[in-house]
Amino acid sequence: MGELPNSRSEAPVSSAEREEDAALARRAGRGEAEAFGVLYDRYVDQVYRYTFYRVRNEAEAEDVTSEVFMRALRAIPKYEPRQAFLAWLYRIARNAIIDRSRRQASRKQVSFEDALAHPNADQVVNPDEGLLAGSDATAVRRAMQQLTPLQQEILVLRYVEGFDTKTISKLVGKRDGTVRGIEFRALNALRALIPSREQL
Amino acid sequence: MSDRLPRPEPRDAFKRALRAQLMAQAPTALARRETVWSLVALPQGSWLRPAFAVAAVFVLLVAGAGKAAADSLPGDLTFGLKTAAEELQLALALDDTTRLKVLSEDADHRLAELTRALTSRPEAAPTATAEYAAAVARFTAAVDELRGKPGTSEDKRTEAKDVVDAARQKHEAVLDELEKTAPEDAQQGLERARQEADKLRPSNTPDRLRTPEPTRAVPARTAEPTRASEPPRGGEPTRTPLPTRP
Repeated sequence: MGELPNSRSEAPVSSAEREEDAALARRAGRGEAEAFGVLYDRYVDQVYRYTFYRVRNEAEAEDVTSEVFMRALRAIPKYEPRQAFLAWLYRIARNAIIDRSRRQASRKQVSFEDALAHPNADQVVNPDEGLLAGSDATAVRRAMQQLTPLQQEILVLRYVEGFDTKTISKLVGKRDGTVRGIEFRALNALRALIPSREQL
Repeated sequence: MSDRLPRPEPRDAFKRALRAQLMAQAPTALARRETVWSLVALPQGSWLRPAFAVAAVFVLLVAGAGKAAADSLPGDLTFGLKTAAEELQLALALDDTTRLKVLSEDADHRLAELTRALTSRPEAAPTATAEYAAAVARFTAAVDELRGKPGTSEDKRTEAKDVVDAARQKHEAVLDELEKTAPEDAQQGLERARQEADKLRPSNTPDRLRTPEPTRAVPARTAEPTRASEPPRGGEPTRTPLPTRP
């Protein structure tokens, strides 16, 4: 694994940006909607990318992104600037994704009964399948669905956002060595899951 | 696998729609909610918050213990708290007259406890009687001390005498009432309490609150013939001697 083209060895945000974020968050917490709007403009792309590889399709990525910012809006009076604003958003996103997967798991349980009633239900074509079949991102995303949530998160932060291990370790609350180990195992799993590696 | 993954971007239409939705909901979502913390003006994350919480719990505990102590009788575990609070009050008394008033109130408390013990918890009566005796003894000792103190003004002596008179009248009235209603097995404790209360009587404290004066050839008051129609002199109520109890 060589140097990442989109690699960022510095923190997700500089200290000046971080202070600015904290000031905007305080203003938003006091009821200034536009201050929250500035934070939204600043981080919506990153939150979207964070969720993109961890859900099934773009529509879900948009849903989760919406949910993240809605939750952030309600929770911003409680935000503490000791934590970088982006890291706080990532944490909300992580929880939103986990909640979503739990809901989907419970829905699957319900549809299992439907499957018994309709034995050929698994052969129903996913409408997104043909549309996204040729996309590298889609192939990777499907493979990533097989990984654990933490593996997914670390791969996205490393290979989509381009953060270095040290930054990721702060974002996910794990030690450097642990992050490297998780990344190593996640990549091995991904290589086994993606049939045509060279295309990626 | 290449060294990077595609960096998808959200659609502009999606971003605009979500922003508009957030701005529409912001006034409601960001409306200030008054909490206990906002009322005491402690910011989120302030170190004062845990300190305030600990203080609040402490106050609640003290209040709870204070209530338990207030209801306690001599011999109870929380009785010590009550007497400690009384000692503190005594220590804070600024002058002799205030000190006397505090001691008088303490004696009142002991009498109230004795009343409760005699009527509802006879097993606590002996301890309650001893506490009452100690409180009266302390009160009379303070009166003696005030009398012997050089430079005590006449006003202060009069004020102190009023405190003693009020205490005596109150205690005698309570004990008289109690004598009528207390059960038979409480009568012995009541008699002892009566003996203690007698120490507050002027006959037992002849010079307690009077300025020592040079002896003059004045006929003794007690030598005067008393008439049944006359009220007692000096406003002091007379008390019928108690029949001797076995």
